[in-house]
Amino acid sequence: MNIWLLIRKDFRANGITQLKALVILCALSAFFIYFWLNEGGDVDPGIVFYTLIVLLSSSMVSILYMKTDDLNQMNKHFASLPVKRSEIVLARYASSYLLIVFALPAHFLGIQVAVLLWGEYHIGLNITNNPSFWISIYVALAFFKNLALPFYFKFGLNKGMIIYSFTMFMLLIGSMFSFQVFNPFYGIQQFGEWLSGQSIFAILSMGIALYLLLLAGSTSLSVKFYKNQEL
Amino acid sequence: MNNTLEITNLSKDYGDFRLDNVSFTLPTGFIMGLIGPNGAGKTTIIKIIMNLVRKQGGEIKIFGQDHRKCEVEVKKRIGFVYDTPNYYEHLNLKQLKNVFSPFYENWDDAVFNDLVSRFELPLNKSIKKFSKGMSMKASIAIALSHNADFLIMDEPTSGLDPVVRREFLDLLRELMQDENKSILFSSHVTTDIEQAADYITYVNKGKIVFSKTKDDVFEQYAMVKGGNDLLDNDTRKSFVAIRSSEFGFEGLTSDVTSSKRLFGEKAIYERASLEDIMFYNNLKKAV
Repeated sequence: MNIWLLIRKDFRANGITQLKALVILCALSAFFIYFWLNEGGDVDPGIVFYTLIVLLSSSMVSILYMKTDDLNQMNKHFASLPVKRSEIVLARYASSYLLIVFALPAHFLGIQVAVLLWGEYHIGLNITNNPSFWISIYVALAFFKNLALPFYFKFGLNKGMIIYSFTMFMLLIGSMFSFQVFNPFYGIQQFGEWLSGQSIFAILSMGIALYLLLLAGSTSLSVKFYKNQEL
Repeated sequence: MNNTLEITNLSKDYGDFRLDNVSFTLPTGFIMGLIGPNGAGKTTIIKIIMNLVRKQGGEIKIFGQDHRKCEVEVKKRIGFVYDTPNYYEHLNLKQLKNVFSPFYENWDDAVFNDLVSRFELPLNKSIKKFSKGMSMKASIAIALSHNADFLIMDEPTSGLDPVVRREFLDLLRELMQDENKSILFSSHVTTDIEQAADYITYVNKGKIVFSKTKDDVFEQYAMVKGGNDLLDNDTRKSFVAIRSSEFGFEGLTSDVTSSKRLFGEKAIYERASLEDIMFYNNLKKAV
């Protein structure tokens, strides 16, 4: 019950800002698609840029309300309410996921606006109009949220974002380095072949299990951090 | 007599500051003023009570229940006011009320509206346009609107003008007509504490100097004034601290009866204010 109240609080307190942000996301997609179509709509690298834009901007919407809470020192107030710290953490996860759920249709709407107003349907849009594109984006965003939120609950928003970005950068460098040194392409190729041999149901089940595992690990880490946080 | 708050051997070490075996009790139906200089540990004690900061040792019981084990149940019955009343600046008071009220089963809109009109707060003006005093009043209105049994306030009168401060103290007295309520508030304005509190807890450098009823404090302490000829090594020891000049001395005694026995009618005895008690206790530590 308290988790629901906390989620409702996030949307009640930041509703206007979130609505504005969603309008901006819609406009962002509309403009990008318009220019992309005007440039000929080449799938590569346009779709890569667009995917990056959707990932970053959708992620920003949930960071925005955390920033508002941070600026107004609201976390102190909410910790003084009759709620458990674990409930505050879980509500923050739920609000973040919900905002991603709202952000992606805003982007999709932007694409349709661009097509309606400025251009004809282009073959390049086959990718962005495919549900699997949006599901993949959602999974990627949820994955990164699960990685980022424990940093937020441990270090706060600003410091947490810096440390998280640095950690991600180091992981990227590390994985590139290990690829060069250990040449694991053979293993990846083998894994890919094995995966393609599985049924959709099996792949989906494995994906969901992995995601739930990551979510459980992330939330329990965040709860542990936030319970010890001094406000 | 039931106790609303019982703190036993509370400790917290920050390295450069330490709360050292803090113990005091607030009986139900009374107001306790928490006084002490800046950095004495008042806010830390309040934050630990609210479980915003973790204690390292000791025990805290609110309404007879452990403040951490029964955190949610206990906090439902607490109204809390921060020293810095920051809220969502882009919201107005009506919207802010809608954010906070669902968390309290006993939230009473009538009480909230009454306090808002009493404090002359605008419901539709955004919080960022509020003065510090208005923000504090808004914070107090929110804290008092769910019929809390225990009010905890950290410097609630800071930023309030004398008129509103007086109104606020009157409001506290009104609240105390319900003998099931208790209030703990810290303040630098010792006159507020003198006016409103039944119990006074003086904390300095992380230690409790005393925690007593107001009457006991004013019976125990007094200012003594006299000529320098009254002072020698033995008589000096009877004071908490002394200030002397070529015209004479004035000092704080913590034992009026002994002082009267010592100096008789050669000295003048005056009621010590809380400010005097704080000042001279601090002076003793400095010497």
